[in-house]
Formats: sequence, C-alpha cells, structure tokens
Amino acid sequence: MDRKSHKSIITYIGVWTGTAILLSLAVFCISWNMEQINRSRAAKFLAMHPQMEAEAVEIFLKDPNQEYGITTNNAIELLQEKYGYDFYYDVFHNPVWYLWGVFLIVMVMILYCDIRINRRKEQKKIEQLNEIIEQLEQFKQDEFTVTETGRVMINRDDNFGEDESRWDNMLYYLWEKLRETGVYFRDLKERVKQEENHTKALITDLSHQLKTPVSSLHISYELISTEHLSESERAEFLQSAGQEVDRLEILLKELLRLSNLECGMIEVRPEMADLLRTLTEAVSQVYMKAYDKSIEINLETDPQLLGQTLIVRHDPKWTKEAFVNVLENAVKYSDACTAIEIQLIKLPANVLVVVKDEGIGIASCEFHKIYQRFYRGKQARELAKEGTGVGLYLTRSILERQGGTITAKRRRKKGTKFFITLPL
Amino acid sequence: MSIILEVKDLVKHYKMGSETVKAVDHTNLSVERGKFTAIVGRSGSGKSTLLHLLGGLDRPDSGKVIIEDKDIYSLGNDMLAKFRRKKIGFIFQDFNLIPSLTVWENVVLPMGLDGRKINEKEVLDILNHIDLAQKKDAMPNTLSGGQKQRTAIARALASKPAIILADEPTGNLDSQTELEVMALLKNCVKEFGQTLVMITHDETVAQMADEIILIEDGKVVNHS
Repeated sequence: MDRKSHKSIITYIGVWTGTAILLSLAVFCISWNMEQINRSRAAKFLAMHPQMEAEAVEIFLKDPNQEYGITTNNAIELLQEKYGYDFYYDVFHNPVWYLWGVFLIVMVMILYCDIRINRRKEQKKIEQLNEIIEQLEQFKQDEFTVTETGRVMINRDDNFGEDESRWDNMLYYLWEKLRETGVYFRDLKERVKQEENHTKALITDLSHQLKTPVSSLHISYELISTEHLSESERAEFLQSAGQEVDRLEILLKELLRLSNLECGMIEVRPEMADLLRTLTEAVSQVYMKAYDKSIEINLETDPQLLGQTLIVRHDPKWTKEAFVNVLENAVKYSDACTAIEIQLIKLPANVLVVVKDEGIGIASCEFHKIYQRFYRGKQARELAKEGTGVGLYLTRSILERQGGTITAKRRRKKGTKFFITLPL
Repeated sequence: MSIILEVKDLVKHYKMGSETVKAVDHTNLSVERGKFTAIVGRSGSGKSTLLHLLGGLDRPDSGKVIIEDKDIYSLGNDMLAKFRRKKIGFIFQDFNLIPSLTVWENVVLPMGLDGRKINEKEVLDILNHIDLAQKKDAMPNTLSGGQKQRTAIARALASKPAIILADEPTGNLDSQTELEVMALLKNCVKEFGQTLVMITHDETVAQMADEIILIEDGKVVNHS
C-alpha cells in the first residue's frame, strides 16, 4: 500500500473516532444531567418527608406508567393545567443548552479557521500558478532562463521526493519541466542562429578561396594586355593564366561538391550494397594517378571475404567519394615508387577499412585539425600541390552521416594510417 | 549551441606529503549540448580529478560546476547524489559492471535504484543500437572486453542523463575493439542526442571528438 492511501485511511479513522467520542460525551453529559436532577429531587423529597422512604423510591426510581397508568403526556398536561408549570419553558431552560451553545460556538470557530486556512492555501496556489504564467510570458518574450521564484523552487532541498501526488512536489516537477522547456527553446534558437552563421562562414570561406586564383588571373591578363612584351613572355603569362583557370576549375568542382553536401541538396542515402565493390571502384578511380607515380595499391581483405560480397548499409556513391578522397591524398602526398596498402577487416559490429601510405605524414599536433573545412597541413601547403582542404572534411562528413568514423595515426617509419569504420 | 556544462574557476589541490599537488588549478571550460568533447592530457595532468569534479564525485576547494543551469556543489550530499543519479551517466575504464547481474539487469539498475519506471522498448532500442540485444541475458563474465564496455555505455545511455562522462573508456581494450567501441559510442550519443565528455590520452580517440580540450598541470591549455 502506498503512503497516500495509508494517510487518507488514518484521517478517516481519526475523524470517525473523534465524532464518536464527542457524541458519546454529549450523551453521557445529558444522561448525567438527567440522573443528577432525578437524584437531587429524591434527596429533597426524603429531606422533606423522611417517613415516606418507600414512596420516594416508588416515585423517583420506578416507572410511573407501569402501576399508575401515568404517561409522560398526561403528566405534562396535568402539571400544566393544575399548577401552571410550563413544560416547554423548563425544557428550554435546561443547563444542557449552555453546554450545547459552547459546543456550537467552538465548532463554528473551528470551521471559520479552517475556511480561512484553506483560503490562504488557495491564495498561495493561485500565486504559484501566476508565477508559472509569468514564466510562460517570459518564454514568449525570448527570455528562456527560469525566473527567480522558479530557481528557488527547483533548488529547494526537499525535492526529488518520491511522493509525486503532493502539491509541492507537483510544482517542483512542473518547474523542472519548465526549465527543461526553456533550455530546449534556447537550444532551438541557437541552432537556427548557428545554421545561419554556418552558411555565412561557408560563403566567406568560398569567396576567400576564389579570391587568390582570380586575382592572379587578373594580373596575368593585365600583363598580357600590355604591348611591350616579347612573344616568349606573352606565352609564359598565357600559360600561367591557363594554370590559374585550371586551378579555378578544380576549385569550383570541389566547392560545388562541398556546397551540395553542406546545403543538404545531396542527401547521403544509405542502402544495402556491397562495400567491397564500392571500395574497388574507389581504387580504380585513383589507379591511373597512382600508376603515373609508380605507386602500388594493394587491397587486402579478410580471407573469409575473398570472392564474397560484403553487404553493408551505405550510400555507394558518396562512400566511394569518401574513399577516393583518402586514396587521392595518399597518392598525392607520397613519393614515387611507394606502396599504398588497403585492408578490409570485418569486426563484430563494424567494417574497418585501413589505408596505409608511405607519404609525408601528418604532424601529431595537426591530427584533429585535418578534418576542418579548408584546413591544409603545413607540409601539404609547403609541397604546394593542388588542394583546397575540402577532401577530408567531406570524407568525415559523409562517413559520420552514415554512422561511420575516420581517424588517423602516424606510421612508425613513414606515412599515415587512416582507419575508416562503417557500422554493419 | 547552448552550453550544458560550465566550469568556473575550479580549484582542487591535494596535499601529498609536504607538497601540494594542483590537480585542478583555476580551470574554466564549457561544453556544448549534443557535442562530443574530448579532454586530452598526459597522465597526471589532473584530467581524472577534473572529470570527477564535473560528475559530482568529489568536492572542489573552490569554483563552480554548472550543469543545466544548476550549480551542483550548492546541493547537499544527498541531493548531489540524487542529481548525479538522474543527470549524469558514467562510463569508466574498468566497466564497473555488477558480476551477479545479467547485461539487461546491469543496464536498468540505475533506473531501478531511483524508483523510475523502466521503458523496456527504449532500453531494447539502445541495446540494438549498441549491438548487444542478443547478449541481454548474458552474465558479464561471459562477455569480451568490448561487450562489457558496450554494456556500460548502454547503462549510461538508458537513464537518459543530461551528460555522459567517460574516463578512458577504451583504455583496457585492444586497438580494433577500441575503434569499434568508439564508433558505437559516438553513434549512440548522436542518435540519442546525448552530450559526451571523454577523458583520454589517446590521440586517435580524441580525433573523433567535435571539440578537444587540452589539459596540462591542472589548467586548460587549448580549448578548440
């Protein structure tokens, strides 16, 4: 049995016992009073007529109706008519009435106090509800912190009570929920703002990226336009302008991919597909570039996966893109005549793809930065190869949207190991 | 994004013989809701002490830890314990599973202790996400290290805390299991909209984080 019904039963029994005791007390008082009157009359009669003892007992202690046929009614009438003793007057002048009067007054006073207390309680409840209304009003005005009263309410020390039915506890839960709602609203608002800032940052980043090639193109163009220029010089500038145009083109392609993914125009749609095939396709896409540098690419799979398909929930198109980015980096930042090893390992709940290269490596202080948008490692920049710093950012984004991860480690001798997981 | 956890000028010094160890020394940091934050530092840099203070497992010498607008060290001991049970999920290096209870019982235990109603569907959903549904009736001593830690992760997620604190959760696992557990943890945290703060000295694990906080000699060196 819970405490609540236990309590109400105790109250019930209490009230019942109280009433019973009070009524018994009243009955006792009345019969005490009647018997007292009777006895004092008997004593008085005996004092007046000591010789009439037997009659006194007859009169006062025996029922008159039995032997003399005197009923209460005709006794009242007889005494009224013959001696003028008014029965009703005497009834209403009985001292029991004083007792009753006092009782009534006490009862009324108790009732009054009870009403007063209840009204005060109600008033307090109304005030507490008003505070909640005030809080909601605040929410409407973009103010999502809890009011002072609410904070006091939440931080009170007797909270977290088990008895949820009590008003105070209910109020506490209500404030707790209000606070949570406030936090939720604040989050929502900030997320919208964040999104806005994100878009702004993207636009700034994009224009910044475009600025350099455009301005060098501009310079080349101006130089070519000047008249006193030898043919060979002109050809040289034309060539560098052409290079800039190429760079712009690559950049534009990258940015387009990025913005497609960023703006959610292209959704990563995981489906049940063969990951081995996706990986093989990615390898063949970079194969020519590797071949040009005489870089060997070895794909190694679990012996149990040989000749089998590995059905994993992933988006083949975008996941291939992710693999290509990692492999392209491996080719780009490795010397000629090195090797790239790819391992495909089936773990209990994930597929692990390890890509090992013998390239320039990544400084350990840069490991957590390489996934940032437009971040390029110091060495990578020094090598001054083509690159926008978009690849790994895109890769991580694609993988994370499918529940995957990417991490990198330095290889002991030279190069980098990338670990890519996708959930099975 | 909004700040779910804020540390203001937190100080915790220990006496070691005649020397004072400044485990946490006037540290300020903040953690965003829904993010995975890694606290990275060498051993002895005070990161474990910091995590204990974030989780209300200790009391600081001075300073504040504010979780969801509540200054947790303003609470009395009993209230702090209740707050901790309700609002903070812990994942430790050595799993801390109860050996005589099954996986399922271990996962729902904290809720049971709090007298909260257990939503079986939700718990099952978590076990499915963390790939433990088939093992739900297994005893901990029949599980591999990775499975034990996944049980601990499910336990932390099941009580729907405001924040999950993890102390080197993959410290006892080999590198492949580490990757696997981390991938699952990261996914679950994202899936269930949780906030994760993890202590690690492993740079591979830290790479998966959205934010990295570097701690040296009890101080935040770099808050990226």
